[in-house]
Amino acid sequence: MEKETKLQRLILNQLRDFFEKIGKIVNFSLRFLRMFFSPPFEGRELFKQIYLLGYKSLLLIGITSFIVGMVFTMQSYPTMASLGTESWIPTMISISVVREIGPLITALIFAGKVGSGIGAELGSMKVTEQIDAMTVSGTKPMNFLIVTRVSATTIAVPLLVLYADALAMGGSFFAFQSKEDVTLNFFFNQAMSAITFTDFIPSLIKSAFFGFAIGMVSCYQGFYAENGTQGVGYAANTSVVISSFIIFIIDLVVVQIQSFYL
Amino acid sequence: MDEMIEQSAQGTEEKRNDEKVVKARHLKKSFGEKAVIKDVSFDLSQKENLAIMGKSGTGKSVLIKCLVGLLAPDGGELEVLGYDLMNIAKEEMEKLRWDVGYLFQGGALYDSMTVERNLKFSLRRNPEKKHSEAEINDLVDEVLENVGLINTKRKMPAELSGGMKKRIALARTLIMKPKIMLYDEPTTGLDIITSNEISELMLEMREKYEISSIIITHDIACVEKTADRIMILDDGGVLIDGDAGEVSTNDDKKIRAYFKGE
Repeated sequence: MEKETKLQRLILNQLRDFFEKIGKIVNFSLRFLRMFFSPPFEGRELFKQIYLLGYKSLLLIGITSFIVGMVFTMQSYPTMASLGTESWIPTMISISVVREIGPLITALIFAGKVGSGIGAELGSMKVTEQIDAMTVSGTKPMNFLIVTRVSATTIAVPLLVLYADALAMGGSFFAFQSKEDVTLNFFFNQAMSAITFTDFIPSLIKSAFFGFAIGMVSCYQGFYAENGTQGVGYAANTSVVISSFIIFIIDLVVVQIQSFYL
Repeated sequence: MDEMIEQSAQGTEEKRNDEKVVKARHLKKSFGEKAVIKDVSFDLSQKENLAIMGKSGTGKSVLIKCLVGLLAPDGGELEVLGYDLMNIAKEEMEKLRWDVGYLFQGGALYDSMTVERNLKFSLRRNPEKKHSEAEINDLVDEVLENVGLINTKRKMPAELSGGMKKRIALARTLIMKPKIMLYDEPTTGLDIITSNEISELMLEMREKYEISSIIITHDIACVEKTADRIMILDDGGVLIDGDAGEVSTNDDKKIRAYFKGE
């Protein structure tokens, strides 16, 4: 009985800490929105961050998406073939990739690569007093460091999702062609016939929210890092963990809204 | 008549030098249950160098962080350059920070920027004083020449030695032409020769830019070279505050311990 109480207390404390952190991140997001509309506007830094965070993720996200498209096709083929529905594979893959797999895989990889990077970078700036140095010199670290990074991730993720979708379909074509004698033209005609504008828009909106969440969580974790180098590691780690968790929550909410309206 | 004008001018000069740029009365600051500053009062006159000494954990850094709004005092009165820091608006605090330079213990150079960008960063973002790019370049050259590191413009902070980092950090604050400089352990971790050079530089800069300074240090050589006045903090209060010569030759055993280590 005693053990159960301790366990319950432990779980309750963990839950309370978690939701407390989510509350602080929401508060931080509101501060971000205020700063977003107040000068100075750091346009040059924004483009630099889009390049660093978005462009530099192209290779990793491209290779991963290509492999996911291939694997997904190879895994589906035997079952679909046994049912005599292998010709539906391009359609099935395109719907899955555009609606779900593309945004989700891209966001999770982006959270792992970029989220941890932002958490560690800002965490390191915090513990070496660089953020304090910006503050005391009369500049606004919130505008220079946070607004630019969060805006960059919000812009970069939807663009990366479109790129990842295309490469996943490419991977799927290669895997499908190894089993069936189809042309690229036939495969993409089949694939695109099932996709409409209404599939892309929610997917891109969802991706923008993923990007915003990754940027916001990682910036928060880094901006408030403490306890020296240990705090930097913690900021990088929790950036990925919390971002990934929020990505799934957003995904669930968007799917619910989508199924309600579409 | 000429004599009278001269006397009047001297009087004005004395009055100007006697103007208090910092007035602190009964300051208090706690972190949770721990009261770090219990009752600290002091003044800083124009062009005066005040050295603050004390054992680790006596609130020296906390005290100067309160002067730039990095920390908020819990009680007392604090006036910096005419601004009441106990009731200061955010915009006023930003204005005040343009006039107060802060040299962090580790330099806190922005490690993703070259030396040149470090120096230009705050200058470009000062809404009070707009400078053309040519003026900014001239100012960068001027301060780098002053600290004797004109050839480091293109270097990254990671390529600099500890002493060079301190000099660049000093240049970064001086480029803003501050009225008050706050030095947090400016010579800690440096060899005797470099420490001596930094102390000399602090004196030169005081003369050149007419700066009032608060120097937090454990380095007796630095205190002897730079301080006009010495204040020793002990147990959250002021143990002694007086003329540098008088304090350093004081016979009190507790005070002597800070200078002779007895």
